Amino acid sequence: MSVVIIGAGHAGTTAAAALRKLDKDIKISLVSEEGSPPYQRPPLSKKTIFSVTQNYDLILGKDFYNKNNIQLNLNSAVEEINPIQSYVRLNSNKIIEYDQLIIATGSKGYKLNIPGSEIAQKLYSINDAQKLAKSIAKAKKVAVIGGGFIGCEIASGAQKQNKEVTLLEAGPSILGRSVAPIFAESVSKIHQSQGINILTNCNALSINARGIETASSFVPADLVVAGIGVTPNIELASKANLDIDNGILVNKLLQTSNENIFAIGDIANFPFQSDSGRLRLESIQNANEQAKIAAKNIIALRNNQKLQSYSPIPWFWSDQGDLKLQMVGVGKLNAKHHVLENQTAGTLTVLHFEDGQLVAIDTLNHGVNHICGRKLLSNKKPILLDDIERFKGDLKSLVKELN
Amino acid sequence: MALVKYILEDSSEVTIEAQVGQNLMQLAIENNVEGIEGACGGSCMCATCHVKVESVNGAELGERSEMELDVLEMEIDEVASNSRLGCQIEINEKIESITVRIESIQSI
Repeated sequence: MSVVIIGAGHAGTTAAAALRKLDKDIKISLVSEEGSPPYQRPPLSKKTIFSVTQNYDLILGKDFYNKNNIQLNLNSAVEEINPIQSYVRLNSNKIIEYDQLIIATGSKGYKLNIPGSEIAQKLYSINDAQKLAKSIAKAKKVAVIGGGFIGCEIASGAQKQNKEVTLLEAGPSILGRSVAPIFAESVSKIHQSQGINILTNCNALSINARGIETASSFVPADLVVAGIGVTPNIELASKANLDIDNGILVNKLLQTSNENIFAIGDIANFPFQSDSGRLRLESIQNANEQAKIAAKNIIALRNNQKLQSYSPIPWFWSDQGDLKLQMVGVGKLNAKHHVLENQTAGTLTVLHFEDGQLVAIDTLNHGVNHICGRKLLSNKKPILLDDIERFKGDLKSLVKELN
Repeated sequence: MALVKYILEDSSEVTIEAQVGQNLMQLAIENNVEGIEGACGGSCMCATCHVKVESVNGAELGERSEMELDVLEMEIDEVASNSRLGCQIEINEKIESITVRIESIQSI
């Protein structure tokens, strides 16, 4: 039996290791376009780009693959998936046949499409990070386009190194898509008080060697970095006629429209909570958990056993300068937001309620409440605002009572 | 440099030389030590790198942070006084050797 995994990010690599743990004998081929052995992406924007040594963290030991008989194909792009004859063809024209295929091709950064955009650096891979680290070390004035998590991490890290930093956000608020508005506003105020110049409702019109032209002003910069979001790498799957809609459509068992092809990580658009609801997540939690479920399901499929569903409590984190943002659950902008009272200075906890039930928690510098949030959201009975108020905002005591 | 001894769940032992600045989670992963997962990449957000510290030579380990203690309390049934998250133990110049017992918690 042979399993091919396309993509050696967190999802693909974890799937390979999980498969090997479950079965000593199956042939496992892990295919990566990149030249580096599989590495962790989150530290790139938090650590690597601000370090002179530019070290990076591996997902598994360098010799793990050899020792565990996992065929790691680096510098190998998959040119074609043939779902009829069950093989993939690499750019070297090498053919690898599979019984089951896992697509974990991740995502790529959106490209800026303005004059001079080739000047702007991006950050997705270790190569990008090593190049950016050199530029940041030399730069005095840094302008970051995009106020999402990556943009905020780059901006606040650069500010911590005493660079003059401007953050340009096209929408009305940084972190606008991801957290409660009141939470985003608080984070924004802290960044501004620490010296980051945040320009909202601000579109970059063009870039040149001296900086960025916007509708209202010129932002001087000797380094421009763009972090304007990512889009899933669906081209291969699309050519293989798999069902596509904002990523690759999978069922709860993480199978695509072809039952022998699984999709995991950033590209998998999976059913979430209700039958009609769907979600696609770009996170470590999602990549890891989906990888393990896909591995288990491949073995189960082979043994005619029942397959396992993926029903996550999504969590995510972002380190921005000295701030640690931790999010759990899936908040919606139209949810009711409740700021938790009686909390330690310098921290913030915002609860999201939908139809009166707790659905998500955003915390700032409050890991305890984040962990509590994960427990509360996995509780069988929904948590109501009354429950929170009964304990006067002490989530830990509430969790203890529920146990 | 310090010597780190991991006692695995099958009671076998692995000893690895660690450089200053490395933490016990990343060191275990890079050396394929079984039972340490590091599902959150060392952000003190899970307990898949849980270990019990058996002994330390050369220096005392600092106190567990409130965050680390809370993660342990939330994720582990019985937290011992020497329960730690491997990602939160960083090798410094003073530590000569350290022995930890792996008590694995898997993320799934």
